[in-house]
Amino acid sequence: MTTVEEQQAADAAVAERLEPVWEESGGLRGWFTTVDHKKIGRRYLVTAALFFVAAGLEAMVMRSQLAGARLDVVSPELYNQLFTLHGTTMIFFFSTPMLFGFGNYLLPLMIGSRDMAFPRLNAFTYYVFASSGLLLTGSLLFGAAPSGGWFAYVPLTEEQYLPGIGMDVYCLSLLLLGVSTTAGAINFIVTALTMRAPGMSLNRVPLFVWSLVVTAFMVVFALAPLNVDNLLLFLDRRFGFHVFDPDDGGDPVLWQHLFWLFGHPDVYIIVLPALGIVSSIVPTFSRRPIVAYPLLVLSAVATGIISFGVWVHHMFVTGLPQLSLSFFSAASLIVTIPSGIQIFAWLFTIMLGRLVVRTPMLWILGFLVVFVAGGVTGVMFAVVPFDQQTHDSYFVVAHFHYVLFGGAVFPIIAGIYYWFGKFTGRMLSERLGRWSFWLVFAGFNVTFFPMHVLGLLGMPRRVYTYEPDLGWEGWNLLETVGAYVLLVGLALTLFNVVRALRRGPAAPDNPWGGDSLEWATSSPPKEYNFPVVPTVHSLHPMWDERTLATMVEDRQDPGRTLTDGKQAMRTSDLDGVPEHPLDLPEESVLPVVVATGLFVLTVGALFGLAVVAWAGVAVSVAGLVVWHWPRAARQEGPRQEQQA
Amino acid sequence: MSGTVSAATRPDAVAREVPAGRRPGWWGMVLTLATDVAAFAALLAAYFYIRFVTAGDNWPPGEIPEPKLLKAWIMTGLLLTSSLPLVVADLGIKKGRRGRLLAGVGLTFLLGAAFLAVQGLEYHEKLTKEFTPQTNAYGSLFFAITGFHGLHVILGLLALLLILVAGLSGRITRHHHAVVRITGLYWHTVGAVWIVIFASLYLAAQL
Repeated sequence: MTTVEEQQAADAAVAERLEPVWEESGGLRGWFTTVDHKKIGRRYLVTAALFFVAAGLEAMVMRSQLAGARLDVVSPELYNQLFTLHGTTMIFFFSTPMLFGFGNYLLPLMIGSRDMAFPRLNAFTYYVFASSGLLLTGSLLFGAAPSGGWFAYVPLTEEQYLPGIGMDVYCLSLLLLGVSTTAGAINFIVTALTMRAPGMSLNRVPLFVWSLVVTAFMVVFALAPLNVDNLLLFLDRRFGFHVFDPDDGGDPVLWQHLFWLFGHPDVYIIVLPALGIVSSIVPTFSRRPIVAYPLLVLSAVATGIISFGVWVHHMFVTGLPQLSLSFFSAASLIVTIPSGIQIFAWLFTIMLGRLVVRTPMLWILGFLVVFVAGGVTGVMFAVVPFDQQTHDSYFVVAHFHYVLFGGAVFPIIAGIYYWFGKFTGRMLSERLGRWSFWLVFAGFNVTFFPMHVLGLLGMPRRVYTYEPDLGWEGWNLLETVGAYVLLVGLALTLFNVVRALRRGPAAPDNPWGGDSLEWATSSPPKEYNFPVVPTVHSLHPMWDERTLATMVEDRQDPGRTLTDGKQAMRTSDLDGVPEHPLDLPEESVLPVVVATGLFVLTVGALFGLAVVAWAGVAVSVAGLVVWHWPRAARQEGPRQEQQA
Repeated sequence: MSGTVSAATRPDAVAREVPAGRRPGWWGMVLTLATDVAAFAALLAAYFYIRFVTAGDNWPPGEIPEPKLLKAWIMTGLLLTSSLPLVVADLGIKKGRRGRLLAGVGLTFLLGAAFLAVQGLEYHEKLTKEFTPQTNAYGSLFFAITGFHGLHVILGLLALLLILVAGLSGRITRHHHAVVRITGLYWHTVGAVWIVIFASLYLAAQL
C-alpha cells in the first residue's frame, strides 16, 4: 500500500505531463476555438435554458391573455406567433438541445473517455444550434415570427395564406437545426461505439448512455423526413413548387405524413434521454443497483423501433382508411408496454432499496407521478373514437404537457440538481431546491390539470380568446394562477443556480455516492477528464473496488495514461477491448467558420439574396476543405523515410 | 489454401472481433449516409404518395410525356462505371501505389463530371420542352429529387478533387489513406441511390 502523499505525488506526475497537452487558449480566442466537450456541453445547457426562459415567458403572455373571456392583452396575430414560437422553441430548441447538453458533458465522462469522437464537429453543432435558435427567437422582435402552429400544417402555411417571411423562418431555422442535431447524434453514436473505457462491454454501459445512443439512432432516421418536409415547403413557398398544393397535383396530407413520421419518434427523442437521467438518479438514491438492467435497455431499444410505427395516431381525424387507423391504434397501445416496464423497474428499485430523498430524487418522484398521469391520457388517445372526440381540444394540450413537462422538464431539473456539482464545482442549496420543487409541482398541476376538464368541455386549442357565457372562465383563471406559481417555482431554481455559482459550497467529487464513472473525476473535471483511463469491471464502476483500483495502479502504465499527445483510447465496438490510442484534434477556429458560413447561407435564402447565400456556401466549403485536408502524412514523413 | 482456412478458423483467429478497429471517421460516414439515404427515401416516398394516392391513373400527369430513357441510361452507366476506378485507387494506395490512386481518382472525377454534364442536357431539354418545377407536383418532385442527388454528386466531386490535390502533394500514403476509403463509401452510396432514383422516376414511370 502507498501512503496518501505518495498517491498525490503520483497523480501530480501524470497531471504534469497531461496538462500542457490538453490546455486550451483562454480569453475570447479560446471561446471560439474550444473543442472541449465539457465547455461545449455547458454552453448547450445554458443556451437551451435561455430558450426555455424565452418560450416560458411567451407562455406567460398567453396565459395572461386567456385569464378571462374577451381579454385584449395581445392581438390575435401576436397570439398566433406566440403559441407557434412557444411550441417550436420548447420542442426543438429547448428539450433536445438541453438533453444533448447533458449528453455532451456526461457521455464521455460516463464511458471513461477523454473527449467525444469528433471534438470539432461537436463545437460546430453548438454554433449551428445557437444560431438557428437565435434566428427563430429573434424573429419575434421583428414581428416576423412563424404563426402556423408548431406542426405547420399546409395549406395554411402555404405562401398565399400566410405571406411574409414568418414561415420561411420556421422552415430554414429547423433545417439549420436539423444539421446540428443530426451531426450531434452521429457524434454520440460513434463515441459510445468506439471510445468506451477498457472493459466496458455493452452490458456495462450506463443506462443514460444507452438512452442517448437509442435517441441518436432515432434522430438519424427521423430527422430526415422532417428536413425533407421543410425543404419542400420552402420550395413551395419561395420557388413556386406545388408539392403540397392540391390545385396542381400536390397533396396537403403528404405534409402531415412526413411531419408525424418525424413527429412521433421525436416525442421519444425528447423523453428517452430524460428517462436515462431518471435511470441514473434512481439507483443512487435507492442505494442499490437498478432493477432489470437488460429489460431497461431492451425497453429503450424497443421504444425507439416501435415509435416509428405509430405516427398516424396524430392523424386520426384526417380521414384515412379504417384499416390504417386500426393498425396504428394497436401499435400505439403496444408502445406503452416498454414505458410501463421502465416505470416498474424504477418503482421496484426504490422499493427494494433504501430511499434517500434529496432534491434530485424529489424531482424524480414528481416526474413519476406526472409522467404516469400523462401516460394514462396517452393510452386514451390510442383509442380512435376517444381521440376523434378530443382532437385539437385542450385535452390534448393537457396530455402533452403532462408527458413533456413531466417526462422531460422534471428529469432535466433533477439532472441539474444532481450533476451541478460536477458541472461547476459548486453545490446547489437543498432548501431552495425543495421550495422550488413544491412550487413547481403544485403550479404545474394547477395549470395543466384543469386543461383536461376544459378540453372535455370543448375548448379548442390555439384560440386567442373565448366567449364569456361558455363556462370556461373559472378554469382558465385557475390555470393562469397556476402558471404564475409555476413561474415562481422555476425562478427559484434559477436563483438557486445563480446563488450557487457566486457563493455555493465547494462540491466533493462524488457528493451523492453515484455509481457511474463521471463521479471518478474531480469536480469540475480536468481538461483530460481522467488522468488514468479506468478499466471497468462491472456495471457500477464506482461501487466496485477492482475498477477503482485500476485508476490508482495503472498510473505507471503508459497504455492507460496516454501522455504522448492529445489522445484517447480506441476500444473494440462490442467488448471494449483496448485497441490503440486515437489522436484527438487541437483547438480550432474551423467549426465557427463553417457554422458562420451555414448561417449566412440561411439568412441569404431567407431574404432571397442569392449573393449572400453563395458567399455563405463559399465560406462553408472553404472551411470544410481546410478541415478535411490530410495533415497526418506530414508528421509521418520523416519516420517513413527512416524506414525506407 | 487449406493453410489459410485453418489459420482463419483457429480459435484465436475466430475469437477476434470482426471488423476490428474501424476508424471513427468510417463510422461517422456510415451514419451520415444512413440519414442521407433516409432523406432520399422520404423524397421518393413523397413521389410515390403523390403518384399512387393523390394522382389518378394518368402518370405522368397532364400533358407531360413519359420520361425518355436514353440520357438516363447513359447517366446510369457513367455513375456505375465511376465507382470502379475509385475501388482500384483505394486498393492501390493501400499498397502505396500513388500512381494508381491518382489515376483512379482522376478517372472517377471525370466520369462523375460527365454524369453532371448529361444531367445538365437532360435538365435543359425538360425545362425548355416538357415541364418545369412550377408546372405541377410531378415536376416539383422530379426536380427536387434529381436536384438533391445532383448536389450530392457535386459534393462528391469536390471531395475527389481534394483527394487528387492532396495525393499529388504526397499527403496520402499507404499509412494515411482513410480519406480515400471514406470518400469511396460516400461515392458508391450516391451511385446506389441513383439506381433507385432511375428505377423510380424513369423506369417505373413507363408502367
